[in-house]
Amino acid sequence: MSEIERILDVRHLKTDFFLENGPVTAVNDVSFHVNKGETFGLIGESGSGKSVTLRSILRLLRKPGKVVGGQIIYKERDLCRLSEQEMRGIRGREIGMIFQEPMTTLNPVQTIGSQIMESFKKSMTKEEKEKRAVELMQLVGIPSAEERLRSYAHQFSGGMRQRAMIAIALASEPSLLLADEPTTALDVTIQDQIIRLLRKLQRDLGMSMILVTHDLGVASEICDRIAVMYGGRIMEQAPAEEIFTHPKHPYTYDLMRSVPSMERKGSELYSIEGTPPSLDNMPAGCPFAPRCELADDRCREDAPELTSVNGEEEHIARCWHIDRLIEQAKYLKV
Amino acid sequence: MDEFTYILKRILQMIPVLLIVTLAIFFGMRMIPGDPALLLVGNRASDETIAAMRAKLGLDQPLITQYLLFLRSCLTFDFGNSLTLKAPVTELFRQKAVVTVSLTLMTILFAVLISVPLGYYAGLHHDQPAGAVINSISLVFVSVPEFLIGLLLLLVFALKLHWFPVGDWGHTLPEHIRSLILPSLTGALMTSSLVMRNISDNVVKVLSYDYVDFARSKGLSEKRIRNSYILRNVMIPAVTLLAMRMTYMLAGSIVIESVFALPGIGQMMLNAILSRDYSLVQATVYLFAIIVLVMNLLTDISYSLLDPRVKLK
Repeated sequence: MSEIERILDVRHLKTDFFLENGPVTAVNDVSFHVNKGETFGLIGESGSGKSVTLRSILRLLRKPGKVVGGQIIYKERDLCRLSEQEMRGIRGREIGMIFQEPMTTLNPVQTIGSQIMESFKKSMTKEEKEKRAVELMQLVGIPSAEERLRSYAHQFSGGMRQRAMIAIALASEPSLLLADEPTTALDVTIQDQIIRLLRKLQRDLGMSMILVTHDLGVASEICDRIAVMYGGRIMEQAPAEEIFTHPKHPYTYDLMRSVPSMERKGSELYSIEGTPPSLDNMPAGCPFAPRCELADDRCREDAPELTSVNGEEEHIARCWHIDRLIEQAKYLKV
Repeated sequence: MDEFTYILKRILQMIPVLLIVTLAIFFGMRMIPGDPALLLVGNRASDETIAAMRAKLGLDQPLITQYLLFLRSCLTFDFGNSLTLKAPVTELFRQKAVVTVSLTLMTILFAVLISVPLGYYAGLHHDQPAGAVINSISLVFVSVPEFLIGLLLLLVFALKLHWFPVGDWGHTLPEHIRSLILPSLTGALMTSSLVMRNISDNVVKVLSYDYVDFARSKGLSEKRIRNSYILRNVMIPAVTLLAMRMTYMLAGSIVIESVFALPGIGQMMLNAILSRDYSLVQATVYLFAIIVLVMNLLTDISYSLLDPRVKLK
């Protein structure tokens, strides 16, 4: 396995938000890596810390958020230690990002073409830039790209805006693309098109990708490996197929049960009781304990560490009851 | 073609507005007590002298005839002579307009120079003491009346320090500019406070949009992000506000020109009202109304040029 090249290695990342009543931890001791050419999925509910993790990588956190611990190793360099100037060389050219809401992510007063072309090298001529921009727009499936070069975001439909955003992010040819809920704001049919597009681009361009989503369906279609986040921590991490067929953590298991499926048609859809904990009021023990069917006193008092499941290095989970879960999971049909 | 029809439509819409303006100013002036003829010949004049003067001024004719004569002059732009100043009204307006237009342009210049950097800075630091201080100071200038600020500036910088002349328009361009500095500053303070608030609020709003983060994620330079992403989006509403304030400034020139004794339209109009100089007041208000309407149209056109989302329809 050592031949696989790690493009990104996040180690013990900790991100705090410094609020008036003191700091709250949004990302707590998060470690994962992304291999070259793969898609890594970060899934979880709103407020689980997945988007903050993404923004921490590119150092695009908004105030009062700040990375307070850990390392983010990208191609043997720790991004946390780079100067703002060096970081600018990483952004776009090495690591690109696409966002959730295409309407507010595109500059309303700048043409789409200009937003693509401003990432190009200054040495390129205007003709070269326009030609390349048209190629990029064709690559992401924008019809009559040449005319659309001079269009503004408000003249595009939602799906086209998302395609335009992807073209803009690809303009500086990043090796790693961070995708923050790229399909959430779209219609279901358009969602599917965008996911297919991302998968195709990722394969054709040999790009690596981190996909943040709360949509298990989207994650299952595109991700190679998946980490499930809850309350700022990774609860379970495994290859995608493994996690969908043999979830070991009660939270992952409950998430799978909350998705409608044909096999369980007719029965009432499961929903996890309660709400995720707020960041300033984290339980002392396991963050999921208050909502967990298996929780006992130990869970409530003592936070478990990530441990490997069945001795497999690739599959880790953060739970005192992994053994019981293995039993339960047999009944799960995904 | 859409634009052309739009502009034509807007110009046609000006006609009823101007008609109402002529009605209001014509009958408004005549409702104010006082007789221009009496003011011209003096209190002790005999009834015959007064009647002769009224006949000379055309004030003995029926009101409706007088109004129609005024309407005719509105179309030909020949308003005859001023009753008191004995010179052609159009010529007087042209002379005084130079002062008022220079005052307005310089006021706008000051307003931009003050409001854009301060507003941008206050917006970036809205959650810090510096931003709060700038915003509270701007609140002061919005609430203090202009004539008071003008008098204070005059007192300190003209009477005490002698940096600027007191009510002397001068004869050369440098002299003109020097005498315009304090009045322009006075007029600019309130406008810059308003524009600054607008810019500051919009900087906060724009920064909350993902497009600034997206621009950063592309590795663009901070300068580029500031100019093409933040400022361009922030300036669209600010320019509209400034253009709207420009019409207020023209109206406010009455106060400022009085405080600083500048020989502009505002001052001329004030004197004309006091001496019941019907022809001068009527013509000035009418021409003023045209300027305001044209500027409003230009504002809307500039808005559509700045913001690609706005179409002239």
